[in-house]
Amino acid sequence: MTAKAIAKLSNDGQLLSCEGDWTLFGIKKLPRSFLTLLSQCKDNLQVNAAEIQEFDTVGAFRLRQLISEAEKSGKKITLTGLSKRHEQVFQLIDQNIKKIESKKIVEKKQHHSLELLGFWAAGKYYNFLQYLAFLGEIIVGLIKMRAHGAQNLLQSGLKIIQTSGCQALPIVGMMSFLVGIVLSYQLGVQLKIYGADIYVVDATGIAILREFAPLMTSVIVAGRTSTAFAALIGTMKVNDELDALSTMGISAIERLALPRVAGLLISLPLLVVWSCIFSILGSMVMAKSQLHIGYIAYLQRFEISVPMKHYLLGMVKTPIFAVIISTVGCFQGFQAGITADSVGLRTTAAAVQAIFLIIIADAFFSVLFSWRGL
Amino acid sequence: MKKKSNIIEIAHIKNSLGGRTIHNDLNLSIGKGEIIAIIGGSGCGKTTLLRAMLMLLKPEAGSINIFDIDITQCSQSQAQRVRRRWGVLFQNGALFSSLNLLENVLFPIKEYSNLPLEMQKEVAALKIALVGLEAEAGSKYPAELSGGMQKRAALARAIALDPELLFLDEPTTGLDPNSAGALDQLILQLREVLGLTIVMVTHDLDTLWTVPDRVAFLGEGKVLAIATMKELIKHEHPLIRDYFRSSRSQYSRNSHKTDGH
Repeated sequence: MTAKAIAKLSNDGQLLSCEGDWTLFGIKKLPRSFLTLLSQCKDNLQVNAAEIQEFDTVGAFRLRQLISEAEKSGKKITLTGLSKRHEQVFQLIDQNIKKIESKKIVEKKQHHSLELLGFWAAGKYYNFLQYLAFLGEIIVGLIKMRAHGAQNLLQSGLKIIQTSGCQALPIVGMMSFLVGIVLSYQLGVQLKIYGADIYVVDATGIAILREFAPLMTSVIVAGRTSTAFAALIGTMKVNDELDALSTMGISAIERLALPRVAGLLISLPLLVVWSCIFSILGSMVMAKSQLHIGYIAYLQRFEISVPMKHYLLGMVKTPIFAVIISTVGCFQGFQAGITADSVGLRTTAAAVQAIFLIIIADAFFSVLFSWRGL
Repeated sequence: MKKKSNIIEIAHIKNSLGGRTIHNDLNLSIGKGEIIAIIGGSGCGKTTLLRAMLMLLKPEAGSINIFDIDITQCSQSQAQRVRRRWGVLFQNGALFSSLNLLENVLFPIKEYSNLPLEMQKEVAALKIALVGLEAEAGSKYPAELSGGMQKRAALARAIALDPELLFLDEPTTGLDPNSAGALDQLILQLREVLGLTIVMVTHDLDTLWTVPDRVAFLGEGKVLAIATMKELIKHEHPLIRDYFRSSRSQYSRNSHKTDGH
């Protein structure tokens, strides 16, 4: 056990004896009591350190500091009794203490809140410009790609389809099925009141094909894949792997970003089709159990009342969503700094911004379609 | 009697990684105040041994006693007490990249001591000064530091709590000869003044000649020899002969011989 560091003043006020463990764990409440002792003592003070048991750099530092404080207030201090080993520690600290006394460490500057708002706004603006520049780089990379690059694009692209598409099938299927059930149930409750049971097919069918399947799937994939892209590329940056690529004369955009954009361009629309199927299945199951519409009746009604155009309008959006998800993910990855922190921040930003942009794009499509009367 | 003075006592440990046996019945004792270097060819299990001592890897058999506590089967609180008494310098520094240098050194102090924050900061600054870094470096982030400064900063963090035992994983690797020499001197000075026990893994022959008291040569899953450098280079074992036969080590040896005489 560590004993407490103690300092005792003799009755005549001329001898201060230090006892106990003058170590990081021994020194706790010492400073204040020591200072009050110093104010009581005589001008000539002898500090006896012979009784110090354990003495480490923190203890030596503290002792040195207190002595210099006392000397500043005009007292004359003589230090005696340090054992040879303790003396060495004290000397080491004595040599180094000047370095930290002469130069105070610069504290972080505090900013005004308006200043911070300005930084934030400017940061967002530049971030957006950089994103546009990144989109440009991707297009340039696509144009400049050589035959060898195309082969790599195919190989890596297939791997991306595997990880972002095939492996997302279970989660997308299950979520879609549940969304179908919820949608059908909520509509069913209302429609039943008017005896318009069969219209549940029209309503859910159109809503799912046009909006729910593309949007839900894109949001899931944004959360799943956009972050993965950002984390991967960000970590590569932290490890200097991107620099390694560039010294080999290989474009990181061509090698890392293009396959991801291409892969997701294929896998996301396919996932949306998968999501449509499962959402409709969920809707069918609910329609049967709640409204007693049989599966065959549901499908027959579906064929008549849900025209092909809704499906196509839903699917038209998906490539745009795929580009948003993949480019935002890669972009954030490339934007990562050189610290572990920045990878975390960029991964979060990838998910948030991808979902944000998807919803904006979706709203834009709605306006466009209604304007064209579709 | 002997057991008391040994800080580390490794007995009959066995380790294998991915089906390959790394250590087989390895024994090693390290006394108080000693500097031991662990060397050996690539893949001989230096790092694995270090990881086992640091409780990052549990050996399959055998025991490791540190401060007279068997770390292979001690309780969580015992392990915590042991951890508080050692400091570790990782090969790449392993500084926290999101904290600046002062915060890095402050981190263990904050965690384990209850001094007032102002004083904790002063102690951290002192440790930074001790390893020979300028005070201004304290506000820099690890990524802004050169390799040598990162090593020094990591050493400052390792000695932040005034440990009794210091593990150094390749302390001088990647440093220029001047910085490496200075770091060697710093390590010796710390041992001299603070009475540290130091376990180091290194390939740097200059360091091997100047710093450690004894050198443990790992090979065939065991400690093949543990001796001073002078004795070790005359050792008969083919693995040890091979290790020291390269022209680089010849040069280093010659220069140290002339130094000595």
